Amino acid sequence: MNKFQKAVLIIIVSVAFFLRFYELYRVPPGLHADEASQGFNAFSLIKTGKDMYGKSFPMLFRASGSYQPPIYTYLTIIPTIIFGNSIFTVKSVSAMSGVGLVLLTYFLISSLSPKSKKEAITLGLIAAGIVAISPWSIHFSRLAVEANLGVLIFVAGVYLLASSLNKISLFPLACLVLGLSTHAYYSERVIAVLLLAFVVIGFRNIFFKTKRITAFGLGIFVLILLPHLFLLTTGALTKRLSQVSYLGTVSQEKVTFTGKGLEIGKQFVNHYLIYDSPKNLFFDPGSSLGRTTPDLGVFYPWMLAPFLIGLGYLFKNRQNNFFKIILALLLIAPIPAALTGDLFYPLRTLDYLWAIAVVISLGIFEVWGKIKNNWVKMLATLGLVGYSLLVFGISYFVIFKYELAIGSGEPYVKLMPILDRYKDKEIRVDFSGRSWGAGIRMTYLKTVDPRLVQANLKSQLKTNYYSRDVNAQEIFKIDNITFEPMNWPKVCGPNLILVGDELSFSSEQIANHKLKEEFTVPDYLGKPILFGYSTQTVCK
Amino acid sequence: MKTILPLLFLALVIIFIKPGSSSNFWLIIFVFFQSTLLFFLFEEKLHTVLPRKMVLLAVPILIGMFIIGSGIYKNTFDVTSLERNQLWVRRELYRRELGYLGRIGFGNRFIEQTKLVVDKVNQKITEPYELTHYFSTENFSFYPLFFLPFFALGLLFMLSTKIKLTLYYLGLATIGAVLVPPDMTYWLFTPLINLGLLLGVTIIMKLFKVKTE
Repeated sequence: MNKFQKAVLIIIVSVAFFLRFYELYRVPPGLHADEASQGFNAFSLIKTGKDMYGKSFPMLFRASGSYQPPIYTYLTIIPTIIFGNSIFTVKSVSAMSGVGLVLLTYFLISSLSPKSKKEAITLGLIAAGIVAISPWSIHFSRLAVEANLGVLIFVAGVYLLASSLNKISLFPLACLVLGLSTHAYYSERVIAVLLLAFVVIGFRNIFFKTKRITAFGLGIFVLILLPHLFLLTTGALTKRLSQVSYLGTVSQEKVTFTGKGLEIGKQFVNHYLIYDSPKNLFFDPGSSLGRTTPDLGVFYPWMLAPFLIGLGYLFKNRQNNFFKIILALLLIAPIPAALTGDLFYPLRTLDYLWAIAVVISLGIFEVWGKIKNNWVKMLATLGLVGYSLLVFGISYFVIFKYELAIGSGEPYVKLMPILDRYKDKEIRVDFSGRSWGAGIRMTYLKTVDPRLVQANLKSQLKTNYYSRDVNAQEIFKIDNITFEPMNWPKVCGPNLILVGDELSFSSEQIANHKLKEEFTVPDYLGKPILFGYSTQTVCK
Repeated sequence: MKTILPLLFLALVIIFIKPGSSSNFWLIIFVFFQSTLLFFLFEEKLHTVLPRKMVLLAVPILIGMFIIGSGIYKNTFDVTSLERNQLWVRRELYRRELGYLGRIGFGNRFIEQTKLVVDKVNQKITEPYELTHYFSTENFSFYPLFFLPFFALGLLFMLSTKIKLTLYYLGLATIGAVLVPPDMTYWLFTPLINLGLLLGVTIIMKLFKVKTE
């Protein structure tokens, strides 16, 4: 690697770092319920060695009516010790994973691609650059999502697995890392197993020659998967799948076994194809802003041409071992997402999107080689990168926060300093599907004593910690603030403050209970979104 | 025989286009002729029958005729009141966020002129890139799902051996998609899919032949 290439790599990593950390505490706005749970569990583990339900070092974290894979929460302990409880803290693990993925992509591609050393470095730099500026990678790096850490660990596993084809001693380590990835996110539980099976069977001439090492590696992999087997018996492992998949619905609708099988097959194929559609990958932003940024797909539209070129190149050189693995990944990686009912949900396919980024970089490399003039190369690179970052910047740092602020609970973050003014009053915050996570969000950001939270949540546990039935309606209490559904018969007395959105209070209820407006919380556009009322009625 | 069989395949495959895709006689004629031209373009051995340059020229001419025949869609850049309202709101956001830059019109110009055009064109051309419109188990798709593996194989073959020609046709079809009415856009891409099917079937047959020998 010469000085120029080193400088380019430093620039790429710096850009990746900037795009993932710039105003991380503010954009996207607010804090999702799942993010707050991860943050608070990490804080609770530091203080008590137990999560917010009082469970010592869980294998899955119970939260918000479901379960969260554990590695992200455990890693959040590190920034929590350094920075304390904050929006930045809980997102920093994901942001760091995003930067790590850029660097790892460079090392993986430059060392495994079948090019000459100089060409391999160039290809590695292109691939790292593509991951660095891809909307999906930036977007999910700025959210505290386990999937972003999952893709980093999984790609590290792919790196080791592909390297083990040349150096078999790396195989046990590859199995270890791939096994760990199954504890980082749901999708990897399927993808890691399928990819490992593909590689071991597909390259059996290598692996069957060294049976001891292969058996040792596979043994490690199975050992790491054992906790999943235990969780499978409790119903906790498949809880998330049952929430998002069509499998349960189909089983209820269809009577015969064949009917069920056909319907599941039909649903699977249709959902699988959605992830292969160029429209979803390069153009259509989708309707949910939690998935992509406004007006942008998971990749920029211009990347379609290099993707097609790269796909052709990959197919032409499919005899190469590394390319075989990438091709297999392209086929395997959308499977978990295709088992869920959502039409296009990039979060569940980050491994697939990473593989597509590699294909795009192969396409760009092909075109790059055809351009002889260095000035044209430089201008084309600057033009495309500049255009991409301009479009992304406008979409993400200008529009995004306005269009996502309510969904991510940003008004409840703004509510916190306002409620501090009413310390002598009893405050009830309306808890409903619209205010999802309001309790845990405030619990985390107010750094509430974990022992108090554990006592409160433990008393509401109706099932075992690991269970198929997870209560999603827990009542949170922080000093004088209670998060619970509005109980109108109990709304009385001079010391009560009620907080909710415009659907929480009808004009009739306001009149009957003589509610007096105390404050409002505006959204980014200045429109009141949360209302605080005091009541004038006397308790009977 | 080497030419007639593929052409027969291209003609026959049209039979499998589902009735739900609202095909008519002229659309089928267009698809067949365009598929045939693409076959001549991709099959190098046939360049003596029809010179390459002639086919290269005939493809856009046929697309041009398709555009004229379907009628140029003039409402691509029409802005609905909902979109106008969204643009107005977003313009305010730009003013607020970009400060000085927003006040001198940087953001405003971008959002009102460039972005609007790009968005409208994007909406128009992205629909035909939805794979499930062509292959799925639903009735609205063009082909039965059974054909998908052949198409996938054919497409990969096209991309790996004739990427320039593939991009040439995709480019032309995309331009055509901007100009024709929204429900016609898919038909511009159908000939390429037909060719993909043909190539996929050919590859499978060759593989089968090698194995049996």
